[in-house]
Amino acid sequence: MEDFISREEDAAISCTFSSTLANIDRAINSIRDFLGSRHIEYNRFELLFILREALNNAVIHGNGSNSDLRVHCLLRIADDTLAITVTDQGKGFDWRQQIMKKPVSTVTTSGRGLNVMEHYGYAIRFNDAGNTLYLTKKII
Amino acid sequence: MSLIERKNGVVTMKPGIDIVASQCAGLKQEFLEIINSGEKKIGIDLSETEMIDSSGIGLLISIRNSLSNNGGGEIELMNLSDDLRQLFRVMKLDNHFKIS
Repeated sequence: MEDFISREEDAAISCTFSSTLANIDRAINSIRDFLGSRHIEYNRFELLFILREALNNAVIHGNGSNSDLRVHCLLRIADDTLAITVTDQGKGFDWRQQIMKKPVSTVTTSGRGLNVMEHYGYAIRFNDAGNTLYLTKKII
Repeated sequence: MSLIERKNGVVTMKPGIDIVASQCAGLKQEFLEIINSGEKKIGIDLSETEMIDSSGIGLLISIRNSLSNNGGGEIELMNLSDDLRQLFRVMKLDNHFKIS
């Protein structure tokens, strides 16, 4: 199986890749180029930050940086909504407990991703197991 | 490899790249070399850094913590884009780093 696969449609792009940090960069670059070619109005920094957080979580925490495990990312634009789905092959996590946590301390080096996604206006859902993340945001 | 300049007791480091997960291991090594050489005032020039992800934020916090544990010191973040300034505000970190 190829290390990194990217497929584009008119209003969607998917990336499937083995769990390495270099492949996160490749996925981000592919999605940035896709959005640029479609002339879609969006906040570039916020979206690319959110995507990085979602892919970092999938690669590092979900799949434990095991390059034998893969991450699938789908970004789709339908009507006025941007929808992102990120799935890893890990066992998932207790997202209900994570969402209920208080904001992290300023001396703690991790644990901010979900807070920032919410601040930037993305609606967050998980599947029951916690290994698929769904993000949506109105873009118009 | 970051550009490093020493002037008036301050070491300024300019990564020239995004501070994201794929770059953190190399950057951490560079930071630790500076801290271990006894420097107490470190400037980080972010003029060519478009993105810092939460791994990068974690790196900056760990460097600040290392300086504190080594008898004190100061990190100053310089030349941030508006987006990065906003990100530090959102994460409530703008009061914990000197930002210019």
